[in-house]
Amino acid sequence: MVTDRNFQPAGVVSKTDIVSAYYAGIPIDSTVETIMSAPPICCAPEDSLDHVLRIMREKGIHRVYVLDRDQSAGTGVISYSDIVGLLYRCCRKCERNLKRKTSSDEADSADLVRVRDVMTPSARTVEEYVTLHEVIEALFLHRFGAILITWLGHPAGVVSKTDLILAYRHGMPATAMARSIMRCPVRSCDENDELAQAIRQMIFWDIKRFFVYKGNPDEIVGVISLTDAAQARSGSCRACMPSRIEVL
Amino acid sequence: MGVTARDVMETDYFTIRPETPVTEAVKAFHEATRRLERRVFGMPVVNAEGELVGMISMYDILVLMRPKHIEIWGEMNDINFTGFINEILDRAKSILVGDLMTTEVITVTPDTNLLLIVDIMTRKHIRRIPVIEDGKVIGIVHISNVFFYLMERDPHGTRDGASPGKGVPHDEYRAEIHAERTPGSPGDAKDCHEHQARNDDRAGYPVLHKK
Repeated sequence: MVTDRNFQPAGVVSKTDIVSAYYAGIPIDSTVETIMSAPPICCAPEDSLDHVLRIMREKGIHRVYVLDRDQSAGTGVISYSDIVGLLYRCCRKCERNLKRKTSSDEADSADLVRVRDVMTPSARTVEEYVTLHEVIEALFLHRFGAILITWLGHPAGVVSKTDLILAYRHGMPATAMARSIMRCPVRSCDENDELAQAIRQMIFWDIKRFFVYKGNPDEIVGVISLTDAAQARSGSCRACMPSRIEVL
Repeated sequence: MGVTARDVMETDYFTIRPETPVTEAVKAFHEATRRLERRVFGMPVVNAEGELVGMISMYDILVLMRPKHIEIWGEMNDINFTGFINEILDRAKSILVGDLMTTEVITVTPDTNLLLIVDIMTRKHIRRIPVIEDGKVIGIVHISNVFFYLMERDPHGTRDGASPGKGVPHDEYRAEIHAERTPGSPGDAKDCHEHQARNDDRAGYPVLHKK
């Protein structure tokens, strides 16, 4: 959040804004005012999580700032990962989850939400020799936070907005190739993996997304992120999915 | 003239370059601790010309490594930490010291009075202050240098003037966690300076300065 001289909320600078600045060739020592989005999207502490999720979905944003009662100052921020963390905690305490751990009942297992149930069923890729300019275009075109980099059609690495921001910070020209900043290996999971396990891995390892394969790790069929999990309001099983946020 | 920074500063210290990867900085802290035979919690960051451009501390690196969802970990009672640190460091390999360092650094000159240093350290919550002469770092005053000097000697320098810099006990472990986090001007302190960092693109690794 960007505040004005009176410390009032004035705007927001997101990773997307910074990557856009990199794409546009804006000097890195420009002021944040040059690239910020205004006004900031905010909510009140007493707003429901359901309401916040709706705002995030409608506005296409990943976090909402929480203002104090007189709306003069920010008191917090809520993001998709916060909501997933809440769901995760709720699931771990749920009687149904505890029972499942000691049960071999197949019906219980069938009740589990799988990665394929909430993943984004497409994964755009670019070859590793494309420029960072082209990577940014692909990210913006598909509204992704990261894109899979391939080598001869095989997954070779990932370039995220964070990687692009670091490249910008380190003065790397946007004409450099994707492979110069990509991270590897590609973090992936099978589409039939339990969603709870995937979320657990993402939370523990601080990973924003897994690329999802179907049987063969070379065959990427989608992406699962904490954002997907939060938007689906998915916990471990289907039992309370539709009303989970309200239940909480 | 009373006791000054020159009398209490450590003259054996490591510096590091801003373009050093954080993974190498972690090794540098180990190396500095081993070679100086005392725990090193922070280092001055200097450019190719030897000019101070920032300070990097363990705190800065821990902030980078801290998992975003650590508050949930308490409920993940079956988690296995094996490989966790290596994973975090692997992801940090494209992050450089210059990305993490504190760039607004309060410094003193060799002639800064010890009591003024005490004032800066206590008011600004700073545990170490680089000593600058002709634009170059020539030493570091640690809070332990100051503390033990004051506890054992007359701060006005009317008694034993032996330099306490070397051999002063160091036990900064608990205090260091907040070091160098408070930028700001030292007010009317004539002998202290606040450095605005400049970055440097050339490669560099930790350098031991020994007097």
